Amino acid sequence: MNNDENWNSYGFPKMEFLPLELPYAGLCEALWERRKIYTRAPVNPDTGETMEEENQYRPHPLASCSGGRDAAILFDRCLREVSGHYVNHLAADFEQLTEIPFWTIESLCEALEETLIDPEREQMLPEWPVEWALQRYRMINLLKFAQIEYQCFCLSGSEHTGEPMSPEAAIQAAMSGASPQGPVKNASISRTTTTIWGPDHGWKEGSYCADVYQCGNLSAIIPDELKEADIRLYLSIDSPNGDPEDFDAYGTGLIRGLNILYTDSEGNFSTGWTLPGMPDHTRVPVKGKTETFGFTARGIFCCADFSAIFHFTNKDGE
Amino acid sequence: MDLLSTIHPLEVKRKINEPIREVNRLTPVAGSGISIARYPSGTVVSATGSGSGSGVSPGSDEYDGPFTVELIQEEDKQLVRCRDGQNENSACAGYIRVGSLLQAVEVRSWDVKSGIVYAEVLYEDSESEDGKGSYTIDIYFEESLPEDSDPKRWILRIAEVACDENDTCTVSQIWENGDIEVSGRWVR
Repeated sequence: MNNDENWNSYGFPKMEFLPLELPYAGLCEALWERRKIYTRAPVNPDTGETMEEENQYRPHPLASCSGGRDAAILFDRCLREVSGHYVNHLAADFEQLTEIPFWTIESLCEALEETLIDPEREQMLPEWPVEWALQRYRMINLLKFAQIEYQCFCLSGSEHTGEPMSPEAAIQAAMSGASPQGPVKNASISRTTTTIWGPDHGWKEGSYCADVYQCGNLSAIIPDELKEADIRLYLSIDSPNGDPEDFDAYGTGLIRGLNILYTDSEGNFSTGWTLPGMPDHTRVPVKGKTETFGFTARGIFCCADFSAIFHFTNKDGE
Repeated sequence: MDLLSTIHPLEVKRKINEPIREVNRLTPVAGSGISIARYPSGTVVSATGSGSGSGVSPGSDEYDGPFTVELIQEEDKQLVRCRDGQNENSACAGYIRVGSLLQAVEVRSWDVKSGIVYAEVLYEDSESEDGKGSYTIDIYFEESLPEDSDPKRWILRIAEVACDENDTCTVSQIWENGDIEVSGRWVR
């Protein structure tokens, strides 16, 4: 693909009655552009320079000689794989959503308010239907938000001497002297406090140990070409053990389930997440028990809208 | 094949079409006093003994279906006619299918000359919101095929008419497969 090629170069969206090869190649080039965003380019072992990877989706020159249905099935398998690396940025039903909503062919179709033309399930009539190609064109245009890296500061402390004689004392001992470290790239996003009944660690009756971990100052690592882009952090969180009773947002404002954070002008997600953070709820650890409370991320997806750098995108935003 | 994978799809199409054009160019065409009969077992070229003077000769002996091209005499005028060979009285020469669109093509006749009878499907894009353009589907008789520069034009050779200096004309039926279905295009 040349750098100045785009949908129009391959006949889209007015591709009806064009010979098969050009629009089909356009779909493959567009999908490959989406894939390249999240795959690392191979490195030349001799020079250390990154190499342009050959488009594995490019159709075989004689692909159109086989049936349209075969080609569509093959293409859709690739589209399914690529879609799963892009987040459904239009999903807004947060009461239902608990997991990060990555695109699927089905959800792309729902977002388009169209019925899926599925060559796996039905015969393609005609052999090379315009509707199938245009539906894939619209689907690919919806693949915008792909992963970028993030960083955060981390504070962690442990008390495992067996000296503290209460859970509170163990926590206090674990926190003493702990200071935020970082920034750490793609670190765990969680804030948890674990109090451990001393005998569980081989200490004397009535003693306690504690582990504390808190993250803060989350920010996106934004590539230069995406400085103006919409940057988001999709965060699916739960209590450390999945028990709602043990959930505590620790001053972050996060809810149990799916959260979406947006960057400020500096690329920060969490200017309000102070370190160390205090629990939202007064929590008295239960004596004689090992327990963990707070929150931990079950899914993290820091992403940016790559539309501005895609060649195959609908600039009108349709 | 590795080399092929580096060629642009349009270039591949051109390369594939080259030998097809070459084969077409080498295809024997009946002329004055010479008839060509194509059979499954081969092609027979034979002298007809009517190599001089004005005359009329029929098209393919074999084919007699939709889009049959023939020479006819009408009021002292020799014409080339394309009709449905199976139905003498039909106003329809045959059908052309483009995806779900099935179009009847009227019987056509033209003044005789050397040339090519061909079917043409031309798609014109629309500026309307639904994006659905329109098709022009018909058969034509011209001295040569139109330049194939418009990617949304599809052409199929139906027959060739050859006339010699004595105005003796013969028809070589090329299309012998009944109604026509456009293939190799993105259609609805």
